[in-house]
Amino acid sequence: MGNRLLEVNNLKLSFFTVSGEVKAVDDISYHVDEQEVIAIVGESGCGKSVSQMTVMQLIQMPPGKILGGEVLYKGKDLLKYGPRSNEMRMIRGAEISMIFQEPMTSLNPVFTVGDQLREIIMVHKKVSKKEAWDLGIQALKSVEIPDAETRMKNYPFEMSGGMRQRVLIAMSVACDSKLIIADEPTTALDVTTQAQVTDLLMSLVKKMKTSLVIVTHNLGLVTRYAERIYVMYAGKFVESGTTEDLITNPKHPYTAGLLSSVPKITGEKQEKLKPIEGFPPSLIDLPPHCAFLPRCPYATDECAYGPYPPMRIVGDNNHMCACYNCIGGQ
Amino acid sequence: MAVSSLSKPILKVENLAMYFPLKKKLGSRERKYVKAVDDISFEVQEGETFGLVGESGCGKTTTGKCILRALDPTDGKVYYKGRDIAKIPIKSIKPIRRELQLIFQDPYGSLDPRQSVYSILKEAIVSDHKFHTRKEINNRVEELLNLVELDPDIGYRYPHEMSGGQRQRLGIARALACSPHLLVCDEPVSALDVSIQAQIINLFKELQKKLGTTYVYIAHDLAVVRHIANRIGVMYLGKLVEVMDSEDIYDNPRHPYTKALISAVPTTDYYIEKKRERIILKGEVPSPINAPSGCPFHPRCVYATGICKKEMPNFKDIGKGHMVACHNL
Amino acid sequence: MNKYVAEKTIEERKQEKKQRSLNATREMIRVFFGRGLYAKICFGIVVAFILVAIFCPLLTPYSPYEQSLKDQFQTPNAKHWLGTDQLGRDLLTRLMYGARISLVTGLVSSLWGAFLGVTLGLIAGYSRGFAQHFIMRCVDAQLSIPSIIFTMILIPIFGATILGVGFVIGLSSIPGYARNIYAQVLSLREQDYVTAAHLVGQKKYKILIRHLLPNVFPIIIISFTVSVGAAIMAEAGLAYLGVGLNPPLPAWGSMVSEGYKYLTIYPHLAMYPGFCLMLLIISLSIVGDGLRDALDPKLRGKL
Repeated sequence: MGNRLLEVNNLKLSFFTVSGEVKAVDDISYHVDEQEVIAIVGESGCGKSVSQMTVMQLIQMPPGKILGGEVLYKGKDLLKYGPRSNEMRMIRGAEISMIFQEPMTSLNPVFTVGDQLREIIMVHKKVSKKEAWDLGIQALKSVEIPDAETRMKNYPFEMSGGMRQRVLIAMSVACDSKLIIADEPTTALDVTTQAQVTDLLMSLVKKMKTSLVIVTHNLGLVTRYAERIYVMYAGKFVESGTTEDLITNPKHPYTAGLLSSVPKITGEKQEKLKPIEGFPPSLIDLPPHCAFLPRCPYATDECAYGPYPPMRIVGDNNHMCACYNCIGGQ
Repeated sequence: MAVSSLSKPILKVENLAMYFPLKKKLGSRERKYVKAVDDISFEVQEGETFGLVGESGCGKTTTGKCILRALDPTDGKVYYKGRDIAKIPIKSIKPIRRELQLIFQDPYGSLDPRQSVYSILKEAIVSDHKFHTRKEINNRVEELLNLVELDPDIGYRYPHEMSGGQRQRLGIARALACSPHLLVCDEPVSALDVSIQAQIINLFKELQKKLGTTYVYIAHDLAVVRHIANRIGVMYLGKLVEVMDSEDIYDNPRHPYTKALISAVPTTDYYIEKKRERIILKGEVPSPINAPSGCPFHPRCVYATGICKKEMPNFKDIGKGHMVACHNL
Repeated sequence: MNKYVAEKTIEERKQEKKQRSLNATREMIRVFFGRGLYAKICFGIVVAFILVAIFCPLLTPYSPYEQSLKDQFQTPNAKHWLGTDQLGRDLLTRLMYGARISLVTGLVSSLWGAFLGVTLGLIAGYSRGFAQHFIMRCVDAQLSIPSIIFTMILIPIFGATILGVGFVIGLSSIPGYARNIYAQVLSLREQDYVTAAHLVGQKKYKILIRHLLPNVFPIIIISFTVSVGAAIMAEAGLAYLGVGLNPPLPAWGSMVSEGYKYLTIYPHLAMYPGFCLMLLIISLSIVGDGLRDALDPKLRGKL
């Protein structure tokens, strides 16, 4: 295990809307070590993206409000810096960079790719315009964009989705980010492009000794690339562990349900999928008991009348699960 | 469910082509076309599910719309129950209009935001002129809601008050209101959450068992298509490159593109996933405006030879209805 | 589902639905007045003008036409709160009746223009081919004529009465509606639910009435508030030029025009109606802006 790079403890964030308090991130704790690839998995609306935006302090406040917790990056609590502080500005982009689902919206349509690369390099490094431009070309080359010199003069709309996603990766490469947070990085892309981009991202992560947080709903993607997984449901983590443990031996009924409801391309053809019944709860007015209760096939009275089950260790390698009736005993 | 080759196909597509003209550039003589669908042929047997797979822009949705005659194809024939519906005037399509239905990708966009569940279904029921009295209609609405496993007292709700899964169920109910024989499903689950997708996929399977509807299932997710379809057609850049039984798709893909596509789909079988060989394609899908000559896949294909650049390979049957369009098998 | 699912009773669901629509209404009202205090003031002004226009005979002891030459050119006093004009008529009374004329012409012309414009826009947007191009080219042709000239030519034909002037101003507002609705319908007709309606065999005119019309309705309401203001302005402009409603009708425009002659000696004669006009039109346009925000598509789902 390497050194702790990022440690998030008991982070809580709510949005206050007309309809009530939305507990988007409710008491989550996780950590990322140096050169580690972790994944946060969950369905849409479970708060997985918001949790990462909170770490980067990109949430609009109000309506959002951080209700507690700490975000330790290299031992320093980022929440102590304000979202608009200089320190935070230098950490965003340079130390921690973020890659979003839709690359078109994270690039400015009226500037060329080169301008934007140069700008971000000059913010974070003390170099001249010319040097920054050259660094930009290098960065584009490192993400395998052919003909990087002419591509620098292209506008974002002149590029394909996969190419734009590469440009975003190039930006974090150019700034030597120590941590990349990829929020559904390939969901908008086609299957084969997805494979291209993720492969590139993984090889860069290895080469540059960067850590990576993948936020996604795609369990297959996670199985392929992540070392550790956190499963999120209704604003809370319900299970965490190494990929091997969690995928082959899921403990939480939700994780197990997710795994059995995705058809596989490999192995025997299943006759029928086993879906999770019902639908995800809204994050407004969550009950005090386990949020998965109405959909859970293993629910007991303890779940219905007890408090929210805490995360506890249920297996080797720090396999944790928040459930009273973990699958396979304990 | 094996379909005997003797049974008559409910749908037979022959050399279907759909070109969208582009605006002429100033000074240029010839008009350019987007060849969205270019000379594809396949058959769908009654009661089976035919999966159409491909990446975005490969023409799978356009094919679906041509089958329904929501678009007028440029060329080719679409035989529905033995009758060519590709070129007949739109008026004479009326009698079979309701037998061909479509399930949309976006369950929200396909429902009028200002119509309640009841009136959405009522509209679909009444246009048939078979049900007249209020009681008949109410019974039919209830029957349809039961069929798609929706609560009957959902009737007064509006689409925005429903979850994604419920909306898609309603979309299916509306299509079923017409008692369709052929249902074209255009990415019906890709906008839904993972845990909801499985519910809808199971629903499709159950409905087929109950009603015997034929499906043309269009999707980009190979794993889902493999699960639901009996036979699968793989499309690339407007052309069909391989058609096979869904059992074959993982064990015996023959076209290099199909192989790459399968290897790109991640799976949750941990131990298999760690060992699986991966084919990463080079470059990007070319634009359908300037499609490459010969086999459309040749610029990205590692097996490409001289002939691939010149000639589009013919569709070859390599046994058991497995068809491949490739020069280098 | 397991036994721990709290099944909601129908009563509870109805309650919930009520609550939801209540929240949506509350949100709309919040957005409507979200532009701060002056939005509320403007709303108040519009309401006040409407009330005055409705109840003016009860609010004043005078008639707007009753002349009394011995009382001419009075400055504000206890008997005539805003003074009198050159023929000794009570100014406040005339202003109140003027509000009635302005609002009635504004409403009549906007209703009429909205009816024709929306119909044309719907037809043009939904039918492909000849009708679409014919209607839109006609609309373009009308747009190329300045509306003031257009109305000045037509008013003598239809008569300088309230209805006549309203009718002509309504005609001149057709292109605005038609183009707005046309653009909206063009995008709506590509929506999946329209395709779905086609596929279930729904008739074309029914799709137009049942799907397209309800979905352009917010646009119609917004255009309507904007055009009421514009119509009031057009009516006043015509009256000022002497083409529209003629004296002794207490139209604000003609009051300004009459008072203009005495501007240097008795400036209040022209200033009061001018001020009313300005106040009403600014208020209307700000109320329209608030309405536009409140009916924003982002909130449309909640309506």
